[in-house]
Amino acid sequence: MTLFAHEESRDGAQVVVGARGQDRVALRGVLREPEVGAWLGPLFRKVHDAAVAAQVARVALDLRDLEYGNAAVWKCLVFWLKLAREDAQARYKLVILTARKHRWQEIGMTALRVFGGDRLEVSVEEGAGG
Amino acid sequence: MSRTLSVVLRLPAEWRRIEAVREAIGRCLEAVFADEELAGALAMVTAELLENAVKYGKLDPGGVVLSVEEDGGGVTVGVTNAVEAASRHVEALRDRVAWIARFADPADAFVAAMAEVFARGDPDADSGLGLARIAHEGGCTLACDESVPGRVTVRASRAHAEPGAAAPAPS
Repeated sequence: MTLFAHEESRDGAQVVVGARGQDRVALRGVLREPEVGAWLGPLFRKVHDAAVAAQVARVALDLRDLEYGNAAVWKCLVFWLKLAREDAQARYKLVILTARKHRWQEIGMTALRVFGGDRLEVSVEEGAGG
Repeated sequence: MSRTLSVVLRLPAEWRRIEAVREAIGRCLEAVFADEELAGALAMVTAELLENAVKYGKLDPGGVVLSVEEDGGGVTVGVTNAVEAASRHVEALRDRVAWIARFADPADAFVAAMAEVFARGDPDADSGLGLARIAHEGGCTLACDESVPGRVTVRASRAHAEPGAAAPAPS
């Protein structure tokens, strides 16, 4: 694992960096705080910086157990993609793991792909993650 | 089989109430329509509209009023909240609803709203992405009603075809 380890519980949600001992960020539960961007944006930036420093090839964002995320969560995902695409030092691909049972993810990812280019890969799985 | 969907809730404008309402409305819709996709989509619509009302509305003892009603082959989610006189948020809301309506495909509105977020590069800035999400993911047509002074109502309407029935004609 090259990312730092971080775990925190928010109101109804859990965020784990370094989940499963891998270069993985996992969001679980229901993420709908009023100011999600105020803490999730900086956390994504920190993960991005760590991934760039370690020159990793792949960082996974596991949303399979994220039952619901509000529009502010989508803003944070767009923000992360901007970092990955515009940072000349970045070499990693962001792999977003989604679950088909969360239809909101499927619909939104179609739009998010527009901004990911070759830096984004979306994996859709039938079951929940862990 | 006859059925009626008419839910009206008046609740305090508090963020912590929204999740319970989202879940409850989703369950009500699923019970009435037996349509998981419709229920999930309109539960999201309910939550996004309530978030906007709590975030940008004026604190008022009357709280926020949510209505979810079936009307002529469709379901309309409405949220009414008090607003400050000449609130810039109301103007932004009106403009955003009109902006979304100009897109023939709401998916394009959602992508365009994301593009604004991408260009701005600030995940914490206001964006109107939630309204575009309502149009795209929620499959809803949006309307902004300012006919009652000091109050604004946002309505999100979605056509709902009965299983096996022809889809309603576009309005």
